[in-house]
Amino acid sequence: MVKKSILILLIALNMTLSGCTVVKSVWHAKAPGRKTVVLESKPLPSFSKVFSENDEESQSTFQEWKNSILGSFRQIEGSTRDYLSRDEIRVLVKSGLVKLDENPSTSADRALAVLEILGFKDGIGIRELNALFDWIDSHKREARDFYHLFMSETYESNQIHARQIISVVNLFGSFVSLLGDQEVSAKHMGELILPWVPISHARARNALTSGIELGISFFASFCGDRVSQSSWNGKKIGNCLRSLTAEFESTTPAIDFIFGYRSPAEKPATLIRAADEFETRVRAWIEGHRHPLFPVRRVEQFSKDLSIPAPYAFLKLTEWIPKLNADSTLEGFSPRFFIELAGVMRTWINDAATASKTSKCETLENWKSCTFDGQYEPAAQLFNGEYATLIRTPTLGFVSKVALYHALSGFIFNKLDMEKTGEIGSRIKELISLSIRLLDSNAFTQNVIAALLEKPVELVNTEDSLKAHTRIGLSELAALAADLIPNRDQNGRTLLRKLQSQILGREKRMPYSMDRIGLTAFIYLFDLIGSMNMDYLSRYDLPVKTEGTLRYVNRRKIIQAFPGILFDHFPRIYNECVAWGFERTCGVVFNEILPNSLPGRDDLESYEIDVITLSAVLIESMMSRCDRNSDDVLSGNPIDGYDEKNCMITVSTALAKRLMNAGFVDQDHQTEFLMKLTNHFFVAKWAAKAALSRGTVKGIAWFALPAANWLTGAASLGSVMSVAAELMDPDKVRAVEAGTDGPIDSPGDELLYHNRLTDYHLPRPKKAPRYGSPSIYGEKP
Amino acid sequence: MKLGTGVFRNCIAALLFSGILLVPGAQASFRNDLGAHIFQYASEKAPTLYLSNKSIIETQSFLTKAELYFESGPRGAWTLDPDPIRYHFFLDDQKRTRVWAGRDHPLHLLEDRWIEPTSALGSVWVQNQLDALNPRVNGWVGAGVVHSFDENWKLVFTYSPLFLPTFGPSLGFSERGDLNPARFARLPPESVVTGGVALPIRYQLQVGQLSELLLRHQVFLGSSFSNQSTSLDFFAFTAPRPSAVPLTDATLAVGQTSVNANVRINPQFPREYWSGVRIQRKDIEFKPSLELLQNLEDYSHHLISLTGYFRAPSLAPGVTNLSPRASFGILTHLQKQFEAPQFSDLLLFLRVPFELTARLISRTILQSTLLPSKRSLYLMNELEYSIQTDFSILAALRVLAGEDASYFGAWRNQSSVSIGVKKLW
Repeated sequence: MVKKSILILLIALNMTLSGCTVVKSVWHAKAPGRKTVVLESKPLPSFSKVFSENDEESQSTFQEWKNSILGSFRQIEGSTRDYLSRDEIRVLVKSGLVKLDENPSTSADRALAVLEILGFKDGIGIRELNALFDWIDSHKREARDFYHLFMSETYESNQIHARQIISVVNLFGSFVSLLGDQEVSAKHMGELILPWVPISHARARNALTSGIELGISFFASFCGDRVSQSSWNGKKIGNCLRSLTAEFESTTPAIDFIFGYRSPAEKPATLIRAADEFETRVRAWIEGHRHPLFPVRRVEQFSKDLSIPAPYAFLKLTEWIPKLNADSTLEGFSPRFFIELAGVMRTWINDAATASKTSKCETLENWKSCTFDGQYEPAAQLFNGEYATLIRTPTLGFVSKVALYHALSGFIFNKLDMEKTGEIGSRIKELISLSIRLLDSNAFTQNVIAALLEKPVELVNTEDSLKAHTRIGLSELAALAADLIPNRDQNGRTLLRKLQSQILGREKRMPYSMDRIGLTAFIYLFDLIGSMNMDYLSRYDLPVKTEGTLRYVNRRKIIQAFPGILFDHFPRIYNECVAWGFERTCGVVFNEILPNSLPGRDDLESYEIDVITLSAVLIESMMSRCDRNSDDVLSGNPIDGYDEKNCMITVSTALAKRLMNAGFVDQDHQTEFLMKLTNHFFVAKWAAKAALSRGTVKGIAWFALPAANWLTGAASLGSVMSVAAELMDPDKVRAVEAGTDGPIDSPGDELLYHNRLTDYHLPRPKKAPRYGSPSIYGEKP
Repeated sequence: MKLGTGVFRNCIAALLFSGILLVPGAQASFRNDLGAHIFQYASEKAPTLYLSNKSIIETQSFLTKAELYFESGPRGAWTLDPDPIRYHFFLDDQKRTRVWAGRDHPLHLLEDRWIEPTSALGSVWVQNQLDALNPRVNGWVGAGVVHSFDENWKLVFTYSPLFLPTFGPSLGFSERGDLNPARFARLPPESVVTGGVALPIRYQLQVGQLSELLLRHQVFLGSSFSNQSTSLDFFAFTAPRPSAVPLTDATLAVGQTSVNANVRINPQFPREYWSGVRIQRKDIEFKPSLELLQNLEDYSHHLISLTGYFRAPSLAPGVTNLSPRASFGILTHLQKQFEAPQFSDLLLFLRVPFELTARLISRTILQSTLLPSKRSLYLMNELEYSIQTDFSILAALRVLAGEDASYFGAWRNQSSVSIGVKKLW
C-alpha cells in the first residue's frame, strides 16, 4: 500500500511538473492573427493603348477598362443601388481604395472636385459612368487621330491637317459639354481645382483663380454671347467650339494652307475661294454675336499672382493693337482684330495661290520644295543666291512664306499709314521686334510652366531682356539689313546727277527707309536668322548649355565654328576673306561684331550668334546693292558720283553710324570724324575710295589726289572687309599683321593670332562653292 | 466552415430529444452524468462555468444518449444533442433482420463498432463539434436495416432524407455582419487587402431555403464480416459534405464613416460519394483496426486511419467501472492538399484512462497533427477523485499549442485549467 502510494505520488508529481512546464511555455501564447485575404487582380493594360494601338487592340483595351470600372462600381454598395452619393464617395476615397494623393483627405477633396467639375456634384451612378464610356467610345477615333498626330516625332511628315484640328476642337468641345450645364464661378472653380494643386506649389495655388478668370475671359471674348461671360459653363463652351468647327468646315483648304499643308489635287482657284470664305466666316463669327474685349490686364494679374515677370512683349504689343485695330483699347483686345487678321490670311493665300498659278508647282503635293519658276516680285526681291542657299532656295514654300510676310507688312503699313505719318524707325522696329519675339519666344509659357512646377523662373522676355536685345543692336542691324535686302531699282539717275554726286559727295536718298518691301524683308530676316541659328547649332555641333530657360553656347566654340558658317552659308564673304587673309579681315570683323561674354563667363546666349548672320547678310546685301554689274568687284567711275565704290561708302558709313548710335560698335571718334569727312568732302571720299580698293587706310592722304585715286582700281568685298577691320579694331589688326599676340577681350579672341583660325579651323578645300552664281561656280550638287 | 446556427441547431436537437417521451416500453434503464466545472482559460481573466449532462435511456427497443453542454460567458455555447436516438425492432422471429428508425450511425447497429472522430470514416462523417475538443460523430436521421445472413455476414442499409450538417462553434454573425464568435469558432479572414488597402470584412450568411438545405438524400450500404479473430466491413455511401464549402460574393459596403468588404457567404454542401473498408484483427495485440476511405469522385481524396486498442492500465485491483479501453493511432488524408487545417493532418492520438486507485482516475488525451507547417498539439490531463460511488471531483489541464495554420494551433490561446464535480445516477 505504501509502495503504491509512493508510486502514485511520484506519477502525480511527474504529471504535475510536466504539465506545469508545458503550461508555462504555452499559457501566454497569443491566438494566431486572423487571416488577411490579398486580392490582386490582373493589372489593366495602359489606357494609352486605346489611342496608340491598332483598332483591335484599342477596342479590347477600352472594353477591358470599361468592364473593369463598371464591374468594380457595381461591387460598391452605397445606400442606393448603383449610385454613390457625395458623402459615400468621400468615405470611399478616404479609405484609400481610390488614391488621388498620398493624403486621404486631399484625395477625397480631389475626387469630389473632379466629380463636381464633371457635373456630378451630388453623386455619380452607373448611368453616368456608362455615359462617360459611351462618350469615349464614340470619340475614340478622333482621340486616336489626335494622339498619333501629337505623339509623332517627325512633325514635318505629319503636318496638322485642318480636319484634324476641327476634330480636335470638336473633341474638346464635346468633352467640355460633358462637364454639364452648370454655371461655376471662377472662384468656385478655383476651389474645385485647388485640391489638385500640391500644397508645395504655392504660386500655382495663388494664381489659380486669376488663371481661371483668364480662361473664362478668353472664351467669353472668343465665343461672345454664346457662352457665359463671367463664369464657366462647360456645355456652352462645348457648344461654342462645336459650332465653330461646323462653321469653318468648308474653309478647310485655307486652314490647311495656313498650317502648311496643301492637298495635291487642290487647284489655286479652290484655295482662293476657301480663303475668301474663311474671311467671310470669321467676320460672320465675330459680327453675328456680341464679343466683349479680352481684358489684357488679366494676363498681367495672372503673372503677378504667379510671381513671374509679366510677358513684356505681349503687353507692349497690346499697346500697339489699338493702332492696328480701332475697336481695341489699351485695356482690352477686341476679337474684331481677328477679322483683320483673317483679311491678312486671305491676302496671303490669294497672293501665294496666284503666284503658284504661274509655276509648274501648282498642285504638287511637295509643293513647298518645288522650285518656283513663276513670277512673284517680293520673293524675287528678297531672294539672294549669295547666302543661306543651303536652307533657303527659291521654292514655292519660300514664295508662300514671303507672301505671308508681305501680307502682314502690307497690313501694318496700311494701318499705321506709314507713308503719311512717316512713322518709321524705332517704333516700327519695336513693334516688329516685339511681334517676332512674341512669336519666337515661348519664355512666358516656360515661365508659367516653371512657376506651376515650382521651379526657378528666369527673368526672360521682360523689359530687361528686350533692352539687352536693343543693346546689342539686333533689331537695328536687322532693320538696316532689311532695308538693303530688297533689290530696289537703281536706274533712272541722269548723268548730271551722277557728276554732281561725285563732286558734292552726297547721296540724296539715305538708306534705311522702311517701305513695305523693307518691312517684309525685316520679318523675313527674323525668320531667316531663326532657321540659321538652329542650323548652326546642329550642323557645327555647338554644345548648348541650358540654365533655366536660357541657352548658352561657348564663345570660343562659336569663333572656331564661324569660318565654317561663312564657308557654307556666306561663300563669297568667305572666299574674299581667305584671299585677303582670314584673320586680318573676317576674323577681326566678326570677332568684333560678336558680343563679349559677360564678366566671369565664357559663353553667350545662343541667340547672340544671330549677329553673325545679320552682319553677313548686311555685308552681302551691301555688295548686292552696290555691285550693280554683278562682277564681284566695286568699280569706280571718275564722272559718276553714284559709282559702285561711292555706293559702298555711303551705305557703309550710314550703317556704321547707325550701329554706333545703337551702341552696337564702339563710338570711336576717329572713325566718326572720318565718316563725316567722307560724307562732306569729296576729297576725303576719293581717299576713302582708294582705301576701299587697297584694303587699308594706311597712307590714305596720298590717295586724296584724283589721279592717284583713279589709279587704285576696283575694290572687292575682301578689301572692304580689310578696311572695316582696321576701323573696328586697329590693335588687333596690327597684332595679326605682326604675327604676335594681341588684345584678348573675350574667350576666343586668342584664335585670331598666330594664324590659328587658318591653320586649324578653316574648312577644306579653301575655296567655298557659290551655288548662287552657277555661271561662275557650277550648279549646286 | 462549420455551420453554427444556434437556434436552428438546438430546435432540431430538442425535437429529436422529445422523441424519448414517445417511446413505448416501460422497462427503461436510465443513467445520467451531470457535471459542473469552472474553467479558467489562458485567454481570459474571468473563469467560466461549464455544465455538462449525459443521459442514456435504454429499453429493449429504444436507445438514446443525449448530451447537454453549456458554457457561460459571452463566448460560451450550448447544445443539447440526442444521438443516438433510435427505435428498432426485428422483422422476423430469428432476429435476423433488424429495422431501425431515428438517428444513429449505420455502423453503430453492428456489434463492437463505435465510430470515433479519429477514424477515417468518422473524420468525413457529420459531427457535433460544439464541444470543440471533444467532437462526436453524429448519426443520420432516417431509417435502416441490418440483415444477418449467418453468424458472420451482415448487410447494412441506411437511408436518410434529412441532412444535418456538422455543427461547429458559432461565428455569431450579427445583422451588420459583425462577428461574436464562440470560443472555439474557426475565424474567417478578418480583412481583405486590395490595392494596398486593408478593409475589414463583414459577413452575411445566406443560407437560402432551409428545405433545400436539409431535405437531402443520404444512403449507406455496407456488408460486414465478423468472426472471433477478424471483423471486416465494406461500405459505400453518399451524402452531402458535412462541412460547408462557402460560396462567397464580395462587395464594398460604403457606410457613413467607413468602407467594409461585405462578404456574403452562401454555404454549399456538395454531394459526395465515398467507399471504404474497415478491417480489425481482434486476436492480436492492440486489436488493430485499419480504415481506408476513398472519395469516388476525387481519387486524390482518401483517408486512412490505424487505431490500436489496449486495456486501460490500472493500479487498483479488480475495479474498472469507467473507460476500460485505451486507444492510440494515426489518421491522415495522405495525398490531398487542403488549405484549411484538417483534423486528419497526420494526426497521432492517444487516449489513456488510468485507474490510479479505486477512487482516483487519470485520463490523458494527446492529439497532435504532424503535417509540416501544420503541426499542433492538444493535451488533456484530467484527474477524477470519487468521493462516493456516484459523486466525484475533477481537475483538468488542457494545453493547446501549434503553428498558425494548424488544427489546434488556431486555439493555442485557449489552454485552460478546470475543476469540477460530477454526479451520477
